Amino acid sequence: MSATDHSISAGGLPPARLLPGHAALRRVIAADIRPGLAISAIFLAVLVFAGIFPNILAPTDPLATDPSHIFAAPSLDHILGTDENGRDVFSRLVHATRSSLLLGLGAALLTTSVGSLLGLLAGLGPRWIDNIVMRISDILQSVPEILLILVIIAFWGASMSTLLFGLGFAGLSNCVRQVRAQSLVLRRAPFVEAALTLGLRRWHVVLRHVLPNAIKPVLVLLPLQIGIKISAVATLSFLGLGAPPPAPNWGGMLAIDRDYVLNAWWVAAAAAGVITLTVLSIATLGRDLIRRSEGRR
Amino acid sequence: MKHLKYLAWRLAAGAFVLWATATIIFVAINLTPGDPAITVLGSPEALPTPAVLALIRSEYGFNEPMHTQYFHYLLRLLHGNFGESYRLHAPVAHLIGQQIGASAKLILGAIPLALGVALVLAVSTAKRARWLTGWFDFIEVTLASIPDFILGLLLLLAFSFSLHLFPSSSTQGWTSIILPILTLALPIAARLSQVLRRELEEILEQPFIVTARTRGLSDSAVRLGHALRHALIPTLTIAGVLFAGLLSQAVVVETVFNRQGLGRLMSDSATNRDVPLVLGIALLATLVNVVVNIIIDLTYVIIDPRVEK
Amino acid sequence: MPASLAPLLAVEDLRVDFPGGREQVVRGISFTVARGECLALIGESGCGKSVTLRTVVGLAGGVVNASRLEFDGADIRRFGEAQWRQIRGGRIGFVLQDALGSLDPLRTVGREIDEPLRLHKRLTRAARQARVIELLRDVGVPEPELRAAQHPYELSGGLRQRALIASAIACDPELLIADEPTTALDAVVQTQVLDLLAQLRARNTAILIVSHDLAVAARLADRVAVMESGRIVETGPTQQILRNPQHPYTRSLIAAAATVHAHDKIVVSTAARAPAEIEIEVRGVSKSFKGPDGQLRSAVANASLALRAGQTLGIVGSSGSGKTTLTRIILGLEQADAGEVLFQGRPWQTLSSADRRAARRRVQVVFQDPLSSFDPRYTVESVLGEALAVAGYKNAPQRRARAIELLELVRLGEEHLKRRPLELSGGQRQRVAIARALAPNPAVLVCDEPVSALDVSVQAQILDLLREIKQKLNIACLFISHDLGVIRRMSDEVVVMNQGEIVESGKAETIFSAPRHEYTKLLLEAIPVLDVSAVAAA
Repeated sequence: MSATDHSISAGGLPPARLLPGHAALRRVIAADIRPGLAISAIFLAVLVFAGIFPNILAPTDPLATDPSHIFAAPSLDHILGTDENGRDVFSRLVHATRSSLLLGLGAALLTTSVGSLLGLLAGLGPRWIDNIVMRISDILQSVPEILLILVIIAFWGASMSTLLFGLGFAGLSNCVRQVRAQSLVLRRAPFVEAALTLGLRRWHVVLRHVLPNAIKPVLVLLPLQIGIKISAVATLSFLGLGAPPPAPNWGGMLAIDRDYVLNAWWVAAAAAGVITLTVLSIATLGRDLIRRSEGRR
Repeated sequence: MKHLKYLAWRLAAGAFVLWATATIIFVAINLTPGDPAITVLGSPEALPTPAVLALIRSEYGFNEPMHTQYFHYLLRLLHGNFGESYRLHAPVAHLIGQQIGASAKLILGAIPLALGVALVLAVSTAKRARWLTGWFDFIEVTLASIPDFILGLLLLLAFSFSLHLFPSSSTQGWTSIILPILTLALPIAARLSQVLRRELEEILEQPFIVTARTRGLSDSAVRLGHALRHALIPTLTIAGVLFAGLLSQAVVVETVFNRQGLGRLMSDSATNRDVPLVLGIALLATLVNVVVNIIIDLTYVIIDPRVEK
Repeated sequence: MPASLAPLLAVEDLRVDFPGGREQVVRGISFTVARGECLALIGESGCGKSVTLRTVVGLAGGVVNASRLEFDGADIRRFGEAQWRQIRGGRIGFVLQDALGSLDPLRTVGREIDEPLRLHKRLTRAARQARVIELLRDVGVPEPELRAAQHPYELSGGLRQRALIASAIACDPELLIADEPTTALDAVVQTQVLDLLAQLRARNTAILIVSHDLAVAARLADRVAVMESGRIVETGPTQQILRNPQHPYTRSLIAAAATVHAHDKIVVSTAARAPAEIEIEVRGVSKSFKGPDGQLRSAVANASLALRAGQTLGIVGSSGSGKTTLTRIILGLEQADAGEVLFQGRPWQTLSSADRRAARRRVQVVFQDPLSSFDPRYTVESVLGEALAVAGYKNAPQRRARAIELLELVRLGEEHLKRRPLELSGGQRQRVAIARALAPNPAVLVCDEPVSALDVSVQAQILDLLREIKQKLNIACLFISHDLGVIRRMSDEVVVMNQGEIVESGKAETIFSAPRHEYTKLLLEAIPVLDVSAVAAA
């Protein structure tokens, strides 16, 4: 209730009504109907399809070079043009989808599952376990995420497994803290105590009542987590620390010499567009999921 | 007295984190299979000469017993000696010292900008008409979720290549720093503004806000005088995490804008597996993080009188 | 009232809508408040009374329509923000329900009281400070200089409410609006705050008070208006309304209040007469907690009591008296530092974990907040199913049949099986909680403030249900409440707790007719008195 909208209309007159067309337009502006949600869902569906069947969507070989068509502008042959080696940009984008999605998904699952496990241990286990887990989480949190991944890469070199490992570690402490806080609350929730007074075994109550309610918030955050990881994968590739060169990847396509950007904007624009759309779509869906889960509460 | 005790406790906790990080690094160097001297150099592909290997072994004392090595290692760190970059043939501390200024300029420019933008945005848009907050929300989500390097490239494209307002890559002159600072600050401002607005909207529903209004306080006085202080408490926690992560972002921004700096040094070193240099910068980042967190914790004491209880 | 005397506040045909809301919240109500008069708006939660109050200071937040809305002759419908700000705090003071939430927790009490002075009076800093101290002293806050420098959380509930009132009357408003000013308070403090409001009225401040509690209105108001779902169904002088209510809703409110705050009805169950065996015995139990300042604070000190089969033992005490901690120790959810709890002659601590689980089934609990007592993911059927599975009902059809039986016992139907707790009303949730507690056929039912989160009329229903069930199943009952009226209605024996200690215990009749301890006397005096002697005749 804010002081600014205390509209007291005079003499009991009904408030002025907007025309129906107006109302529909206003509702779209007010994001009541969410066109963004539908667009996001469709885009992600296409993305998943591209990840599973890249050859159906883009039959052109993403690795085939064509020295005579370096930096060709978008045309019917190459709908998004070609890059510095004359490779088809569209095909490279499509064929890079699978690794981006898989790495994002895998890293997000790794963070969420390990984080949930540690968080539950800390929140429900004995005090000394809680202390150990929280100190580990302190340490993890004190190294900024990208730097942590860079340290891991410096030690063990850039490969799929070190990337996955590093990305999984990034953001782990947040997840641990969230699940821990939740389970500390649930531990003394009346419904948990009611279950205990029913004479149920402690582990049974933990499994049935505490665990599902404790990890629900991080599960709701999983889509956003996937988005963050995909964005991090792209960033690492851009820095030249992603999958090794010939294989196409989204971030790497933006790492071309910046003088090219001016002349062959389509290469950068296409890759930037796909990454942006992916991350935004996932964020839109993820936020809707959060909104729904809060609305039900 | 109570404050001093709290400060001492926080300093001790910070020191613990630093010690633990250093120890984990020590364990990592020694537990990696193979010759630890090779690990320090990055990989066998570095093709080290026997002379270099011998130098590393004596520097790190790999021939001595483990506990002596550990003790000497901690002692060296305490003296600010992070070892030697064999790739660049210079002490790590010296290399960091050369680059830290450029990064500090970026980061110290970005923090007030991000805070200012977030405060103005959140305070003026919290609990306003839905279509207004809806649009701001959309812009913030976009800024917060697209990767930094794409934001940087977009800014470059718009302001340098198309409008020619700012130089595209240079470390010289004040104009060259504007786009990098924007790239650093905007995503942080967007995230902070989101948190702050959500907190403000919750606070503005509280009974004490209604009470303040029933006393005849104006809307802006209610927002600034009563609500903001409350909303700042949880926002500061997030701000601490985001500010401490600025060095991470600097890695990206310095690459995009082709600038000198710690971030650039870090990513180059990681690519070339220059372990001592990477570890030196990581330890520095940890130190910065610890210090930022202590400052934030002390700020709580000022904002919230309940903290000391 | 005489026509020559214009009312201070006049409201005619007031309607408030919230955009997007399905129904009007306030649907055409009219009332007036004269100078120096006290009008009470009475109604249950959601009847639109709080929105009405906020409309009077222009903070309703919805679309307000009225054929007349006047304060001291000025049409407040046409007020701009600047005019509103002069009225708010300056000529109309506002007191909200919960003083802990209604005072800015990050500011000192003195600064909060100073705020209206700063806004409305041209005074020097020193003069304002002196006025703050004077105000605190006026509302009966001891050591005002010290209190002014403290934060709300450092004050007791009663002092906080006084400080809040002080900030509302800082500029000597002509009208004081109070939204449930005593609801969050203990009975003793409630009386003090009502006395304070009565003093203000005696100084010719008009008061518009909102309450769900008829007893509060009876104490303070000259006139009463009864609200039901956005309409005023009955209005008139307080005594007339209480003695001779015309509208059925008013009658039901009075009847409910009369049963909850029953004076003369003392339930003596037959089982309590014979010396039955002891179900639960508490022997010298003590428990301390580490306070936030690191010092040990005693929550329960050397408490002993015995609950016999079929009997109801009431534990009464204000918040912080240790009754909740004692309950948790009895339930085995908390470990005592010293002393022991015996269940049917055997101490909890010595039982093996299997025996303890079996014993637990015989002692069941109903908590205060019915919503958080259920796993949010569960339906009523799965809630009851889980309890029944523990009780030995192995197959699903059996469990379902028994669940329906249990629901019937608590006056709910089969159709509620598929619902989730969120889809039930507060009273229905508490009924499900009772059904779950009954599922394992317990010997003892522990009720921890089972009705304090409910509306008065629902309270009466739940209390009736509990009594009925207790008699039907002949189970012992441990009944914990801060409300003496509720305790008196339910208990055979009573234990009075204050600051962690049991100060008095004995037969309910004895304690209520001849209290020995000072604290018990204080509690008894503070029971909200509702003069309804004529109601029975009506």
